[in-house]
Amino acid sequence: MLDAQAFKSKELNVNGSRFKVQGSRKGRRLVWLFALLGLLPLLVFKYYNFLNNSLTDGLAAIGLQFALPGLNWAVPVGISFFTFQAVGYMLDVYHGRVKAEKNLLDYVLFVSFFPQVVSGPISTANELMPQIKATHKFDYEQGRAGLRALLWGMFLKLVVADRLGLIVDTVYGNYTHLSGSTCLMASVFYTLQIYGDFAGYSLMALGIAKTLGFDLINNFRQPYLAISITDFWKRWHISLTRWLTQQVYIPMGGSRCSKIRTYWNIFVTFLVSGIWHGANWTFIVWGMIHGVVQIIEKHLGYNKLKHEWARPIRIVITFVIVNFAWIFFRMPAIGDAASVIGKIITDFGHLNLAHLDAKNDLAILALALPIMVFKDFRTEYFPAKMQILDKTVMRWLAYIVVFVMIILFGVLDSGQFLYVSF
Amino acid sequence: MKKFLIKIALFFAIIVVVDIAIGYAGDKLRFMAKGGGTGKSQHICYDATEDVLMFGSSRMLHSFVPDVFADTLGASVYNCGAGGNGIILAYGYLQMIVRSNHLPSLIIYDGYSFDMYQDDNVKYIDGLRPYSKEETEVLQTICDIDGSERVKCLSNMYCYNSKMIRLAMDAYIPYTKTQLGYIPLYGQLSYEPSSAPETTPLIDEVKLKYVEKFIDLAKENNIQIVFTASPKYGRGSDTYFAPIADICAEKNVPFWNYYVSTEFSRERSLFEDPVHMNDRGAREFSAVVAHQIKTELNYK
Repeated sequence: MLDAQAFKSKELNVNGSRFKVQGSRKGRRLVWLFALLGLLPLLVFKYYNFLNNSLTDGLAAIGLQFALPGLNWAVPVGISFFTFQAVGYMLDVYHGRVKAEKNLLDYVLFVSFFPQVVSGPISTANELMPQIKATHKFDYEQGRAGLRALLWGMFLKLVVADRLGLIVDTVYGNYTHLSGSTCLMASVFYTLQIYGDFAGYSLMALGIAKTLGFDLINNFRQPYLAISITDFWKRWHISLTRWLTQQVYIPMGGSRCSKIRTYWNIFVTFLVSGIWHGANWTFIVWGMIHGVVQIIEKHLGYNKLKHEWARPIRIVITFVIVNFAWIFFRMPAIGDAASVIGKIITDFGHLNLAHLDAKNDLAILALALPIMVFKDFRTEYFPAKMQILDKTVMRWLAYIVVFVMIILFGVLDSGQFLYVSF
Repeated sequence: MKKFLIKIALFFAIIVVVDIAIGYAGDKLRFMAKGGGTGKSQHICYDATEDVLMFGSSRMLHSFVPDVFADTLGASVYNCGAGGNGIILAYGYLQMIVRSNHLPSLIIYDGYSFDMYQDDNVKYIDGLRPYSKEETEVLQTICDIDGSERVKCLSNMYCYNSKMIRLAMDAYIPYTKTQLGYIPLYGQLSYEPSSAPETTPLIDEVKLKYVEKFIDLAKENNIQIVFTASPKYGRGSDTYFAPIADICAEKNVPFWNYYVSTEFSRERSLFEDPVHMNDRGAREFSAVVAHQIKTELNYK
């Protein structure tokens, strides 16, 4: 899996201490040991109960009664993110992508940088460490761009995502009594909700960091305009895709091996992605769906097609696949997800809007969603057009309108970031 | 940096002006309301001259028919029930009502979990925010639930959060029509709900404090008060309403518990869903309660 020649007599630097490794085998063992140690809190806090319950259920299914005690500890917020950032750094040092950091305070700041510690993005040391070491003077343009990102992020989160969430929670909490059409509407709303929630948070983190003089990776690039699932993962949670590519896919051989092996590497990478997202079989199924579809795309050469006329069709197909996969992501159990999907494809009853009491929410979304969609379309297809929107007066008008919409239409009571669970 | 801070200050100065304008527009729309939720709130807070006012959650809203009470009691009746709300909103409303010259002679309060058990109390003050500037007592109630509201409610936009579209609709084409505050349901429960025993969450002392304050405020203003628990379909807990029952006993206020009354709780045709009666059920139930008021409270 790793190139032995490249790593002879490497020094492994961990938190300021040097470990001289004697050849690649010892180095490999040490790095895997430290990676496991780094992942151990994540594994315990996040997966112990899941593994315990799965084991108990599995044994019960064959007539054996055995149960370890459950864990009732509070899970540290953002553990998935800062663990991956720390382990990623260690692996980057091992692979020679970055020099080992000798300053403990700089390292601690890198791992715990507050704008990103809760829900990412996952930065590399190459990106963030030079910025930590640099002296920062206030930059007007950067400060302005930062506040703009913060404002737009709050709009996506409070006005779009949390408003959609009110309807989604009502439908999914009562789906057995609602029509398939209503469930389909909720599935599309959830697809938009999770984008608004996660992209909104990422933009807020990016905006705050930018205002302080730090540039973080932008985690989203109009993901629902992707033309394939492979393309989707170049636009969605870009920092995680990068991490998985560098630390899982490429070390396994990437695409520089046989076709079957490549397909296996893709499958395992997305299996890991699913597992990372949550301690539930639904996340694993979600990850597997994305992995399998990418394998099919690769096998069919789907990503090599260049017909522009097919772009809208491909966008719709990709959106439909992503939309249905999100159902597994959202529901608490595979059975629930399967029931919702079953309802969608068999029950074409009318929308149960009267039961939802959602007129007000839908009216607000009718104002907010076109704004979000227009901005994404403009950024993707015509960023240089409609220059009038970049004039000072129009920009200020946009800032004021967005701010007012946040206060007037945002869900300002106890909403929660979806990705904070990770 | 100086230029940056000046522009931020200018931005917020513009926002303050916009906030004042939106507050003015919101107040105007509120008083223009022809019906809907806005019209109902306005009626309760400013124009309620009925002899009997009924408060509670959606179970009050859909289960207590003012016409039935009016016929039996020979009094004017209004249903102030609000979906997803409970004692905290009702207390705020009562604070507005007691400012006026016309007070009801009887209040009926239909209790539910929103009056006893723990959940996020901030959502219950949402309906009171537009009134926070007119009545300091209402603002006190809001701040008692969440101290940060004292600062937040300085903003008109915040007070009208999530309400502007509804305000506009209710001023011109009201969302919903009510029958003296009552909203009938015409569906019928089509399934057997779970027979699992009902669990009672943790008690919320804040809510119970407001139950006591509600009773005290009514009594201070010589308003007779009675608490009820309207029926649910299927299996329910006898002790679900124990916290309210205890307070009523302590305050010498009648509490009539129909929650698991076999007269209603086994009759699926009277319910739209397990916790809400349909119009037929509401009329039958209202007749029973109205009769009980007439005979036991000797209401005239």
